[in-house]
Amino acid sequence: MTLRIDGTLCRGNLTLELELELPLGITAITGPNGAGKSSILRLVAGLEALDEGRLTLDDVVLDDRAAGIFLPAERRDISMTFQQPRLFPHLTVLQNIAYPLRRKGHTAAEAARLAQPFAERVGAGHLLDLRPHRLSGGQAQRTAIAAAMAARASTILLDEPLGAIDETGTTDIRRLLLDLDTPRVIWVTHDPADAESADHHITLGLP
Amino acid sequence: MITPSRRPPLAILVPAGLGVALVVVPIMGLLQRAPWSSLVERLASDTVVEAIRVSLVVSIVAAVLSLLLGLPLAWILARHDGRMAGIVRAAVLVPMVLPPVVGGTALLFALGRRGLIGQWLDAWFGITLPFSTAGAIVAATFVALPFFVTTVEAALRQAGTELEEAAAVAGAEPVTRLLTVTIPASRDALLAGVALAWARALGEFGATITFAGNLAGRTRTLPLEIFLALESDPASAVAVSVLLLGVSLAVLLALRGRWFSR
Repeated sequence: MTLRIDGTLCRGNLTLELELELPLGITAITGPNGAGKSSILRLVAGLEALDEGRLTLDDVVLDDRAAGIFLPAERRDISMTFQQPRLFPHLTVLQNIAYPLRRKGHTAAEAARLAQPFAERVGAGHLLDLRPHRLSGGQAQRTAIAAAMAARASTILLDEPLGAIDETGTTDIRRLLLDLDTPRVIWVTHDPADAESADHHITLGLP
Repeated sequence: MITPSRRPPLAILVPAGLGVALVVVPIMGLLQRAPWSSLVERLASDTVVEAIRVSLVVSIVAAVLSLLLGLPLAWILARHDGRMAGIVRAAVLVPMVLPPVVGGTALLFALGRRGLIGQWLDAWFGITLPFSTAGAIVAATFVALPFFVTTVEAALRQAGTELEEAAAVAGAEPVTRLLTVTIPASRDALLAGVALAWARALGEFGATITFAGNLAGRTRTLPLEIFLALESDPASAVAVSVLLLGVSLAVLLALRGRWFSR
């Protein structure tokens, strides 16, 4: 069950040469700004495609331009949180968390029932009926994490998940993320402490 | 209190004040001439009521058409930056800068009975657009559509990509993303676009009179009624003008959150 990236990604005049293995467990990715940490997550999520080479999960090819293969984000068994939480502004906290469940065919009522425990796990149980514009940055990120958990994908991608949460609130969320029962977690972080708690650690250099 | 340093210099203040006066003085002139005591009575006269009915039908249908045609168009323009998108955008925006009477003339030669497409509409389906309510609707939609497209394209561009990515990662197919995220998340812009398109359609004059004519009960909308009444019954013309002024201010007020709050 290893995700393998072996290829290049061109962004403007910058070329990222990637040769990575992302095994099960928690992998922390650190490195300076511009090293391509977020790009790796976007590649794995299916929001971007490699310009050359391939992305494989075991022996299944997810992305290979030369072979004409690209599995789009919505077909991949992956969920993701972004640096700036991306919540749907017209939905409540509970509806945001329930959104991926709705896409799996659950009815609205069912999805809301299944989503509620996730809201409580991230400490957003008292925010269920609020819309995102009423949330603090930390509350929004907690909601986004709950939505990513609710999707029950086998891989979760976290792009600086603690960045938007103020210092005092990070302890419980960090513990929660380290205890996720998701088989594979890829965690982009600036904090060396996060990297030390992870099972694996990848440090990127500047290209 | 305006501190001396923050007070704009006279060279700026005077033309700015003249600019405001240019808008405000005519409105005052209109209001001062309005036949307030007989306003309701004049607006309730048969000819005005008929023009109100035509105007409502034409402007509402034009606003709905702007939504139905403009939303897919705005979405495509917001998601594509190529040369082709630039050409399409320019073409759609033409009615905003084109003199409406030129638009009406163009419609006549495209959709008139001997027009490019009009001759086939007539021969095959027996549809004649000029001098019909349908023709007035086409003229109103022609001028209103770009107002909807520009308003909505900007919103879809701003809100769209990031939220659509989040929805994709959450398992939503492209059409589902559009229906469950992009459209509801830009609801305010859609409403503003419909309101602007409707207001523009309601005020449409030049393209309508050129293409659809001035037939009572069919194509004579409120602006055309004003134009006609100015000759015979100026007081009624002012009364209808006040009505349209009121509607315009109401639209502006409804959109205030969009324009005045920042």
